Amino acid sequence: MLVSLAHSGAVFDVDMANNKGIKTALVTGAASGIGKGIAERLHAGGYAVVLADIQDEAGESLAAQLGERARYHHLDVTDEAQWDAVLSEVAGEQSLQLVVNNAGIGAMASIEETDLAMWQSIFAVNSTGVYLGCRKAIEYMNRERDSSIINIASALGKKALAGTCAYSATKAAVISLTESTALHCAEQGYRIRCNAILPGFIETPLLLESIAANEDPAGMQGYFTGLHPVGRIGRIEEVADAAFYLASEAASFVTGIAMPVDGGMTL
Amino acid sequence: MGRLEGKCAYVLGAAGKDNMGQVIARRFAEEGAQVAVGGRHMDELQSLADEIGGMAVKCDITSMDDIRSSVDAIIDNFGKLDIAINCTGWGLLTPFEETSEEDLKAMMDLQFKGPYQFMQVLVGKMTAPASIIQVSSATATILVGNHHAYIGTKAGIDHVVRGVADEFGARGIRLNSVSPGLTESPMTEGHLAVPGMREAFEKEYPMGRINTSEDIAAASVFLASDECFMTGQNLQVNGGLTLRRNPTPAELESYVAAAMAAMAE
Repeated sequence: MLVSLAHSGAVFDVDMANNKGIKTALVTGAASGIGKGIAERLHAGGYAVVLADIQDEAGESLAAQLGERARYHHLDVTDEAQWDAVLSEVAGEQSLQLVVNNAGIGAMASIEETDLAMWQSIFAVNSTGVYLGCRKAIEYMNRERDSSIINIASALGKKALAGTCAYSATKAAVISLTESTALHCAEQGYRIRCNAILPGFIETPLLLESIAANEDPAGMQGYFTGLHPVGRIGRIEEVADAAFYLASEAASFVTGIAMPVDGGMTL
Repeated sequence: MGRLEGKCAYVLGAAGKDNMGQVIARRFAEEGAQVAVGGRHMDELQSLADEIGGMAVKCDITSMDDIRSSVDAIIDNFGKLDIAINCTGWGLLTPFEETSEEDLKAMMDLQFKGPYQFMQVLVGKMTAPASIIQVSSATATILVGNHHAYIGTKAGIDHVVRGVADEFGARGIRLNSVSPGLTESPMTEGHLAVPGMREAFEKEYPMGRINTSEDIAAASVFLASDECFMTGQNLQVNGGLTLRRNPTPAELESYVAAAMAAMAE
């Protein structure tokens, strides 16, 4: 998982000399998959991390495994009151300088397979949850200190598939929300940047399980692989590393972008 | 440990004192890469190479022979080439109808044929994992006036990058371009000295300042590193400028006219 750390240079690690105290990052959906990878990368890079999720057991266990500078907090991203509860606590005692809106749900379903309840539930988490995450981050961050928001959108938000109807639409909304939020923060003089990452298909336990559960796993694997010009699906640490770049001083002049980390899938 | 430890890099367009290529070359070296610097003026290149412990190669990007011989010399010396970045460019400003055939040919040689052939040679010589980076421009996304030949060739290469990335992805060669906006550099110093000009640009940047070469060097380190899963992309590193626009030709001309009038007095 943390193979990439062997290559990390000082520039990409938290510059302790220029920061009074440790930077705190909140990552939603941090108990598993990409969120877990991002949280681990940030933690290894010197951040204090608040792992937020609704999978309490897995979240607590990851926090315990990371040890110092890590803790878990229950957070349903669709619930505004829960956002206030988490962020008032974090911002009250630490310097919240990064929010990664990663929590998301998906379904492989075409327009005809997507009923209203499914549409609304995917939008509630993937779009409304990120809207709340951006809005609450701005409310609780110290606007005079360099901070950033990273939204995990998807390559599917730029190029939909027939079978990703609601999912792609929610991710397209996140890309647009990211631009608007970045402009607003800049225009208000807040030192908060906002960017989106657009991962392609990534080797998460969830994806690997769904491939394994398919009646033709090899065919399914080939299908996903074939969507990426580089001839493979992505690794969790590759998304985590992109998030680390966007959060770091190295990207201090980058705001409002939708960065594909997709092995060329959106070409 | 540096981010590019064990890597060999070629930075083309590094002969101008303190230009973007030089800033990138110094940064790559700081990150642990062995760096070859290329361009047209060997004196300046050699002094940079001495400073960073690298090598200097002569390469005019409009010459296929120069591209081939410089890449060969680097691989002979380093044993391999993992990273290549093209920072050459020519910021020609000329009204559309007045663009001369001579200028147009020179622009196409420098900013289209050259980068195209640079990539042709590189994909044949580099082995996986490899990263090729073209310095593009925010103007390929948001226009600026009287800059058509420059913008057209930059946008053209962005699209070639997409196609070549698609074709060579499976061979472990990634290609991306990175787009700064107006950048503080010796090349733009005169332009920015026109009263009002700097402010005209700055007000369009959501982050309140124009680019520095360091911004592009930092992004290039990321694009060059093995952890990067991006390919075929055009990375906007311009403080949000492409969310907005560049100053209009009328605005810019008014500052130039005022400066000319002041000089005439």
